[in-house]
Amino acid sequence: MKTIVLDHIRRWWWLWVLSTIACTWIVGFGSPLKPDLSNACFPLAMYLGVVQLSQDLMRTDLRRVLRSMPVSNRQIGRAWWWASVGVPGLLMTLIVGLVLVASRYYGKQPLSLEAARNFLVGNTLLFGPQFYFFSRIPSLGSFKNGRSQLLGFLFSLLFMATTFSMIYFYRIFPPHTLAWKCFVAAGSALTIASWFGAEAFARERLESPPLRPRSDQSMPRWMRSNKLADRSMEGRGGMWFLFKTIFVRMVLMGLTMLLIGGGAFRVTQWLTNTFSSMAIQADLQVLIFLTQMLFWLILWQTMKASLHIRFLRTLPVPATSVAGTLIFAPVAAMLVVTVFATLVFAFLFSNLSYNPVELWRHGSLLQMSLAISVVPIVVWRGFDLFAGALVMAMVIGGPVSALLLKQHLQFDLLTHVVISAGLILTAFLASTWLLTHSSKTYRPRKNQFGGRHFGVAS
Amino acid sequence: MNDNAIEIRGLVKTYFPFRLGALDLTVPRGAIYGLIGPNGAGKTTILDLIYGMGRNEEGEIRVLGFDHQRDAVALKRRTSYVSPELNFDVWGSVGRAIRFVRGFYPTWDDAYCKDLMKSFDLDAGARIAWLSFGARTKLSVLLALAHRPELLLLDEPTTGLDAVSKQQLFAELLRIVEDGERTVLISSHNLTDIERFADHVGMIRHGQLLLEGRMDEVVDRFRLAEFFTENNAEFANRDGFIVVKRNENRWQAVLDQERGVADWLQKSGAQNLSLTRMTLEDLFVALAREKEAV
Repeated sequence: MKTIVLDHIRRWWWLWVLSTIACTWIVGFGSPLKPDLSNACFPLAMYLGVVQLSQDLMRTDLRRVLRSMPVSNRQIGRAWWWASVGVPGLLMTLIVGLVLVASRYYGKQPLSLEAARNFLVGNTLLFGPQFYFFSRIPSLGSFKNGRSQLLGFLFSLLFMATTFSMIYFYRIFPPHTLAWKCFVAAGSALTIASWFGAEAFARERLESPPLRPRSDQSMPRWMRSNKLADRSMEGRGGMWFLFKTIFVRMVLMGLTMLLIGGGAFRVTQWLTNTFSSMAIQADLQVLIFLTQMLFWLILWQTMKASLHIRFLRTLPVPATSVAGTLIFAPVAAMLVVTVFATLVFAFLFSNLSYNPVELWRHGSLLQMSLAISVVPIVVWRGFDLFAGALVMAMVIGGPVSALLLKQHLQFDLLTHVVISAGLILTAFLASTWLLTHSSKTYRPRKNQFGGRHFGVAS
Repeated sequence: MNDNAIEIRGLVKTYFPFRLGALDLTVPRGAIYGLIGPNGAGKTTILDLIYGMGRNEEGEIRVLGFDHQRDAVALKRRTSYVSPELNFDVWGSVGRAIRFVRGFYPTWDDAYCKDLMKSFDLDAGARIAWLSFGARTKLSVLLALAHRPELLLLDEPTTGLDAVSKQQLFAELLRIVEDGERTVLISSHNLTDIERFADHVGMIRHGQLLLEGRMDEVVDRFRLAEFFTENNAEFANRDGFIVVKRNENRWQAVLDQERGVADWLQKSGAQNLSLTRMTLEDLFVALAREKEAV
């Protein structure tokens, strides 16, 4: 069991380090802003916890290796529990403890024991429910009937709600209220339940049928073959098709996430308005934050395409076209998503005062060009440890620092446009140069999930 | 018209500590050329450089008369590249991948594409992520063949293919070169296939071309020599002579008949010398392990 936990930490050490630094910074420097830490909830469980484990479980080779090891399902399940709940909880305790002691000696305004305790309880009790809900989602190979699909959908919703509720944690569960007490009780119960359910979770994941080609009759028909795709050979192909594919996928993904995120935000706002004195507000800051987070999330579509550089470069098309598609398709999609964001916000919150230009002026353009600047890095190195750590650091740090620096970066729109255009153009030129000059770009690629080759059909 | 499909002269590329070249390689037009060598010899690097994936430090590559960098687009329009490291997952389904690639080639043959889909048992609606390794290789071959390229570069194309699929693949390759105008350069570890289907062969090791020529001439040039010695006579590797095995006074070695080593052996005390024809695989193993030999 210990070996499995240590192996997990060894492979994900960089994310643990990044998260620890970010969390310590938030707890340490968030407290002077508001001594009860109520504005400083760091969603550690969004980066550590079962979210990491889910990345591991996507790799069938890891499951195959574990199955062949002389360890029981109980040992594997409990090792996963320790990696996703136990160790992150202990880490959070250590961070809060250190900050508490440090603030006694060095802080201008010492962190109160009660604030630290609330912060610790609130954050630590999120790991267990997260693990529990995730463990109840059937693996893809087990989606045999309507019931398992419905359960999968339900627990996926609960899992996502647990994960993203952390952002407004103190507003949903203000300390000393009934909501807080309910949270502590439910969180404790689900943490205990997750420990006892870990064995069944491991059994289900390790023994479920693996994803197979369309010949696997245990899959629902819609999963085996996409009948719509039978007609997909028709129509115009070439680079335009790649541009369109990236653009449409990013816009659809962005719109879906906006609607889900905005809807969840609307429900949360209604709940806090009804049951709590700390109602959350749907202001410009929230809209900017949501949009900027979206840029990073939808960029994944481009990264997927960037990981197929070898294939793209075998085609009769100049490097500038490949680089142009990888850079400008996401730029176009992000601009459209910004427009959608204001429309969705206007629709959900009946607030028509925001427009895309206002978002761009408040840092969205800069954030967008910063996100695009990741493309040449992925072109150069694939999604290896360095690129993965860099992207995660930017995902965590980009939107947060943009909000913190907003007061200091009072650029006018033209300055934003010029800087952003410069960054995007640099990304394009760098990508083109890498495609024609760098051999590393075409070497077999490893990803940050433990060394599986990217770009290799396996 | 130039008689050679590929001409490589003085090619040098360094991936520290590996160095390819300086390397000269010639692939005649209309040939099936097998490029063989141990792992890490530089086979994929050569194919990559031909296709402009990375830059050579020195040397010149001409493909179908085109400069491989200056005329990269024109060159790629008339050639194809197949490798197990090509991945089409981003397209989701087989049909979408075909649609994407078809858009680049005016010479794309839809009827031939459908024939190949049937022959390779590929369904347009099949999800690429769920295809087996062999089926992905078949998709890669299909995308490469359907525009009827003048030159086909195949990097380990038989990896993951079963015997039937391998036969299908080579049958298609033979059909391609039937008219004598189309050329296939195939890099593979499967030497039985190479010996059976290729008419030219080039062997590289540590980034250097060891030998190159027509398959029958290359295989005919080398012999496995078995002989005995007396008085503890010693033989070490020399030009055209590689010791494969030694058991007391009984020796096995590879002889290059063009170097006149047989005469030298007999003069040096080798007795009961017998020479037998070698397979390409035996020759490959002997040459690839030359440094480690006794």
